[in-house]
Amino acid sequence: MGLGCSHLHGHDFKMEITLRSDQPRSHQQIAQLDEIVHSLIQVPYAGKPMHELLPVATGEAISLYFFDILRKSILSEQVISIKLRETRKNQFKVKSAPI
Amino acid sequence: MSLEQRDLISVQVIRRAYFSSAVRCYSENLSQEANQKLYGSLYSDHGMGHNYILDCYVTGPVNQESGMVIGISELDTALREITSTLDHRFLNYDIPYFKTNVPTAENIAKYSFDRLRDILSHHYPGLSLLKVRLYETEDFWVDYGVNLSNF
Repeated sequence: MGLGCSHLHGHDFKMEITLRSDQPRSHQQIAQLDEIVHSLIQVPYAGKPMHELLPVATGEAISLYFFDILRKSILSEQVISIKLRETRKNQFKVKSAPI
Repeated sequence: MSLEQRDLISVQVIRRAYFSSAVRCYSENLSQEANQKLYGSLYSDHGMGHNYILDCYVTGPVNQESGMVIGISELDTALREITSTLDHRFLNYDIPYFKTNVPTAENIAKYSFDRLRDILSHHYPGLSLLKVRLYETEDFWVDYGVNLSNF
């Protein structure tokens, strides 16, 4: 583990979510997705100390944690992958096995 | 059972490195006009410079103790072995591979992937290099890797 991770610090994360759907997307579906992510991820976790929630708050662990939250939501198996951008040089992608 | 085991979830780590190089793209088998038509501004007598961005995509098991697939500094060291040889170089003249292979983005991506895969497989046997993405400009990039259709 790098020295940087031994000191408490914050990140301005960006998350991309890839969904599977049989229907063409609508504005309503996008709005619904925004609301789900806002209520399940942004509200509970923005500005929160992730190291108090996870044994080791690495990018990998946080990505898996958020992926699990979304897969357990109403979105369920529509969620194919998420990509979490930690810094301009670090990204972490969690995806389910390809069909 | 962890999430990874239960649902066959994979975790990829994507790390970015930068380097700047000059290239001159041409084929000795083509006429000047044909080269100009094929390579455009990359065919310039003086070559052309780019600020390249190299993203590498690796995957492997998440270590339970460290919470990581691979340490970022270790990945940086591997990437630096590639980029340090390319950075601030004129690839056609300074890199033997590009004396016989046109330094297009495709070939630079292939060169980077092949060498990075050798480095990572030697030091980290449990890690897989999935692909590299090489940005020649912000509007043009090339992916080179294994089973790209799975992305």
